[in-house]
Amino acid sequence: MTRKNRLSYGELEALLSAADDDLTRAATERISFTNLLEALLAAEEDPAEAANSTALPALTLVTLRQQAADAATEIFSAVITDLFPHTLKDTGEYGLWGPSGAPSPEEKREIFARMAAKTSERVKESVQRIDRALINAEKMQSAVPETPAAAELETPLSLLLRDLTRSRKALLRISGAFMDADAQRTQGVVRGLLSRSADHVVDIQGVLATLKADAQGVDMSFLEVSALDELIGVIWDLQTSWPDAWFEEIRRHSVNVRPGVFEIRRGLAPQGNALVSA
Amino acid sequence: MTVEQRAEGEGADETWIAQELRYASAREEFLDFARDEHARVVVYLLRQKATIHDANDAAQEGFLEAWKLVRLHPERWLEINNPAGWVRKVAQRAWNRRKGRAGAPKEVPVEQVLEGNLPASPDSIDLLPDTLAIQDAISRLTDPLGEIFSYHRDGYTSVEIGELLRIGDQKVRDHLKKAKRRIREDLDKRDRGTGGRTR
Repeated sequence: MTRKNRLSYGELEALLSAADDDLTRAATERISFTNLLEALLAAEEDPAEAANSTALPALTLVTLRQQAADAATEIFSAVITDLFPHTLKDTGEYGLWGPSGAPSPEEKREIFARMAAKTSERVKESVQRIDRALINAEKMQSAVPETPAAAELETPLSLLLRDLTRSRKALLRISGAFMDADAQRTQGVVRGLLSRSADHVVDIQGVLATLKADAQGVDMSFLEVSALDELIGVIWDLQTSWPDAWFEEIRRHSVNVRPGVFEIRRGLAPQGNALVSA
Repeated sequence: MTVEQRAEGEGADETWIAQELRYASAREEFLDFARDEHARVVVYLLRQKATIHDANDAAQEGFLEAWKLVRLHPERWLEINNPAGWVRKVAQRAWNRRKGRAGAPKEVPVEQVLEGNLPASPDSIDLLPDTLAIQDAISRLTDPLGEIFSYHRDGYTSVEIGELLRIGDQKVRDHLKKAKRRIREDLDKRDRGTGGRTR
């Protein structure tokens, strides 16, 4: 049929319907649901598979996080320690610079000796703190598995060990010194090295926070957990055993990532005591 | 103590089982939904003159995005009133991005179409001349008329389209009226050029 008049809306509708049928026929001839299904199934497995392939053993990750937190505490405490108690507050405790007048040379020597002893004591405390941080850093270095995900820990860990070792050496130079310019400068160096060490620990904690861990079928019941943060990213299943004291908290902060498998996540608003189903 | 042991001890099996069943059920429902809607979403894009390859890829992107919601944020997926429309919307965006990357679609002069001088595309599918003419007419519509018209052809009401595109339903009706008028004019122009439509 040949038509020269203006197309009516009825004819337009008929043409559009025929075109839709034609497009549907062409689409069903050329596309396959199987391909889409494969893509969907691959995506379903992907996050869990990827997590498993890059996941650290859960105990390793939790231990690394605890060691990093311990190292951070020691370093931060060492950074804020004033090695030279020569402020008015510090000297005031001796009661020798009061209205009774200037101390005699003998008294001065006694005061200096006591303050030097105090400096030595603080240096010793700081060295002990650095030693504990070093032990944690060395343990972390030997515990980090050779996985691509954990590789990012290598650089901040080696920098941490280097700066902690240097700060320890510098600290030992101060021991016994008192208020001389060299010792004051050395304290500045120590503080700089410790501040850098603190930055490295923060970097390490940042990497650890992003890592996943596999606790499927693992007995974690003996784990000493001090904060839920240590468990973020841990993937577990119905065969995983948890410490009794932490089970409810873990359950409230877990999402169902695939049938029978859960992941502990940060910031999930607990709703009742039910595990969030995904 | 494992969760299973706890469940046995506390009689919490029902909660766990219910959660597992809900997940399995949502999964099956979605796969059925994808099986039913896949070809329709592809047609939705083909109608706007997407190539079969682009339409298929963009549709897949839409379903994968929906799948992600089902798996990771089921509550958000359940909140979507019109899942099939939502997938079309995501697929449309995916195709728009592809078009954007490939540059604006080149306007094919009517004369070139009439003379049969269209270059063969590796993605071309065997379609009737009327279908090709309608595809051309729809592809000439300005945004968002083509999208709205394609939703309309898939049976979506003005209200549904308005909700999906976040515009008023009266606006959708205005757009649809304009789209139909332009398509009709376009087909009339083509008819005049060919000396009439052969059906």
